[in-house]
Amino acid sequence: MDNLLKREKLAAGAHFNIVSDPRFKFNRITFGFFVPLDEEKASLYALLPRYLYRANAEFPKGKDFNNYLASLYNARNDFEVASIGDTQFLGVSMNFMDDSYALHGEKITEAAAKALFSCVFNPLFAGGEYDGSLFELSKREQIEAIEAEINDKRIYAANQAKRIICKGEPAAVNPLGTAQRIREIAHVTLHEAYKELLESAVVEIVCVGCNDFSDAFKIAKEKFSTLERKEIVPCKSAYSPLKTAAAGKTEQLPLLNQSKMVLGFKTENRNRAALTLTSNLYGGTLSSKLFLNVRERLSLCYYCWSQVNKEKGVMSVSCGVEETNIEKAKAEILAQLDSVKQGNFTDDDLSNALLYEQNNIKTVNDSLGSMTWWYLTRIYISDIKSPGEALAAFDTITRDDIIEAANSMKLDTFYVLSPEESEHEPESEGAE
Amino acid sequence: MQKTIIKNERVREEYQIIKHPSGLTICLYPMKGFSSAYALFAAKYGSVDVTFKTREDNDYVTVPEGIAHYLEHKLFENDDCDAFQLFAKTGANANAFTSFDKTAYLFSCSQQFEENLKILLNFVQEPYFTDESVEKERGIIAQEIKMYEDDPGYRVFFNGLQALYHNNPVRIDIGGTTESIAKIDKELLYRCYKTFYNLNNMVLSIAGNFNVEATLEICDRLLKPAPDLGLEAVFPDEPYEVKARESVQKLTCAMPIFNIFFKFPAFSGRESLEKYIAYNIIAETVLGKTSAFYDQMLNDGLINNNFNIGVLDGRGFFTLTADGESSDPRKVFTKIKEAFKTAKQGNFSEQEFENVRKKTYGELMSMLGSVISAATSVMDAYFHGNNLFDTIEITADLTYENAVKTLWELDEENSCISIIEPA
Repeated sequence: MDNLLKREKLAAGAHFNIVSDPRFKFNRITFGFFVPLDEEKASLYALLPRYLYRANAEFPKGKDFNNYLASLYNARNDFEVASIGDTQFLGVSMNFMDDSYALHGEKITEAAAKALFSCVFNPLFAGGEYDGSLFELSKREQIEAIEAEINDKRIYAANQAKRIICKGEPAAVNPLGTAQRIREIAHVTLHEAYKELLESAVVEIVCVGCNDFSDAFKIAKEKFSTLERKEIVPCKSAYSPLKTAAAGKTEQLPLLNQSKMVLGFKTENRNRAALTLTSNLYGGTLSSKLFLNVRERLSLCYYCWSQVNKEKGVMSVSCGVEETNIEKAKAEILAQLDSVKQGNFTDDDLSNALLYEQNNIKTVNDSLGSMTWWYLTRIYISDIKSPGEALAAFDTITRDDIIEAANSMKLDTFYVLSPEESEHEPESEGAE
Repeated sequence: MQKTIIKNERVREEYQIIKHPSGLTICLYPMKGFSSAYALFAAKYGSVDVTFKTREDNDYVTVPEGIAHYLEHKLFENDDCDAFQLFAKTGANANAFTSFDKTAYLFSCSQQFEENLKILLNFVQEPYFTDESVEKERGIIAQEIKMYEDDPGYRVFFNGLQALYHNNPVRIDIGGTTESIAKIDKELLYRCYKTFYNLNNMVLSIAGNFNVEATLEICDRLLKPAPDLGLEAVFPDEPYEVKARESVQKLTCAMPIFNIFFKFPAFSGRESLEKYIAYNIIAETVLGKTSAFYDQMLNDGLINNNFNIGVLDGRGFFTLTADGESSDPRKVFTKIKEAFKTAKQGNFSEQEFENVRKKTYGELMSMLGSVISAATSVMDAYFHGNNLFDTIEITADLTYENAVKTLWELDEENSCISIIEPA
């Protein structure tokens, strides 16, 4: 089953999107802002979703709001801050059970939608008895979230590598912001940033679930009718330019048992489907060249995979490897890319990469979260297609397209996270 | 073939449980309109099953730690090819996992379901181990173990279990250690396979978009009947008290991470499920996001939104847990114990209990909207001796009075804390 999006304009740069599907017992509404990633503003914007999602003028106390949502059968408020290419995405969402499954016939949908819109349109900024504790709590949590990046060494290594790969570009900016800038934010500055977003950010509200969302649409329409929208700040991403010489960096951490290595490659190829299948075939699946050779044949790693950032034209390979095997793993990773460049793969390999992608795309339809993210991404790239429609782009990809895409990949960055006092002495960024 | 329909009027859902002549139990939950299907072929065999015997053995045997997980890695290979390569030809997402008390092989697909099912049933029933292939896997598993040794969230949990339990094998890391896996060889793997991968000790659970008749036809054709071996896995006696009050380790992390455990005697069957639901709701009412405790701790800067509570239960173990990040984990521990004490003294709001009960009901309903959650929950319910809808019904029927009674069974002093401090 495929789902088509119904899209209504609310105001300049603001749209209401509905995917109604009776299979689900739940609904999800996401209120999303898109803004250009900018070092000066990223921290300020990143703090907003965390601040907005947990209280509003009707329920100024987090405890009261949580109790209210619990009484709506675990209506779940959440927020998200992420980057898509050179853009920062800021989202506040509500997941809730449909009315027809309530134990005592309660009207959950309308109440949950109202609660979400109240978080976005009636936050705790102006006057009243607001004591500032929510603001301080949000700041503390945001700082702790930024600093906790180091806890997961795989994520930390991937993010550090990305900062080198996209150095000097918006995509290198941490969408969560920096601890230092968050500390400096004043409540009044956050309020200004909030007004700025409502006035000039691209707004996409995405509703997915069994409801028809007519009540939610009415509320949103009414809210936007009284909102003064100014000039909308457009969001776009640019491919990352290749460095003149590949950058290399080794960072050391204490008490580390396993090194992490990330290789960043860049391309100027714009064929999104070909890039996806090339990465799948090379290192994106459990039958890929990296899995079969780096892991299975040489037993060097437990994980070694590739992924492609199609907004930036970057493919990265990540692995966890024994300190003494770093060079051996790097050589094999590069050798396997060379083999794809030379066309050393079978039609079955290509077919497997395609089938894997088809399966991934078809499965999008089975979860509210994945459908929401699917449509937000398609809206962002201005190519709104359902998962079913998007499959067609892969039908025409040939082995020559894969060879061409692989040959367009140039090594840009080599990053290693190693145990302290390792043989890999820390190097500063620069030519390798 | 004995077929039972498990139906629930409240949620308007049903699935069937079939006792197949081969000995296997098959749970089938078709979900109309969904694009994908999810299948799990699982053995009641996990990291805790280190000492066992069958009717054919004279005495109990104890095998190296981590062997169930090692076996999971090795089973994907057979004599002519790798199961992943077969799944690659259909585009399915295949994987496996080993937990404390089960090992499951699974795939998710939106096309060629029947072909995928054949691959799953075949490779799990056809072990093929050589000295070379067992040796080759040792390096991969060692890297997996090392990866987890660097993970503060993983370490804080297992260090806590080691403080909680004296003897129960749940205190063992699921993957074992680099030392213990060095003792695993082909013969030991075959022995464990033959003991635990008997169809009488396994379940096949499928949910989503698939055809029931075609599925059963494939099962009839491919399942290899096996006599019930009279398997007995034994657990050493476990004292009532925790082994240690505190465990501390240093790792690279931003701020201290903690995991607090409250120890209970093990439960089984329906009682285990009732306690599981009751303690989840009690803990959520006393410590969760709707509680005054949570609000106060947030405002005092002692926890952040990564604070979680839950119940961990399985064969031979049951514990209530609270985990998160804090600048002062020991103070959090003290405050949690105080919160339970004051709840017993009457600070346990009926209204908040009712809200949490509804919240839990909503959470359970949400799993019926996902093929992965549905198939997994059906499997878990089977291994626990229940059915999927029991959880929903027990939650709907739990009364405030019964929750208060259950709260009094919690011994807040029989608890421990595990802390990872920044290096």
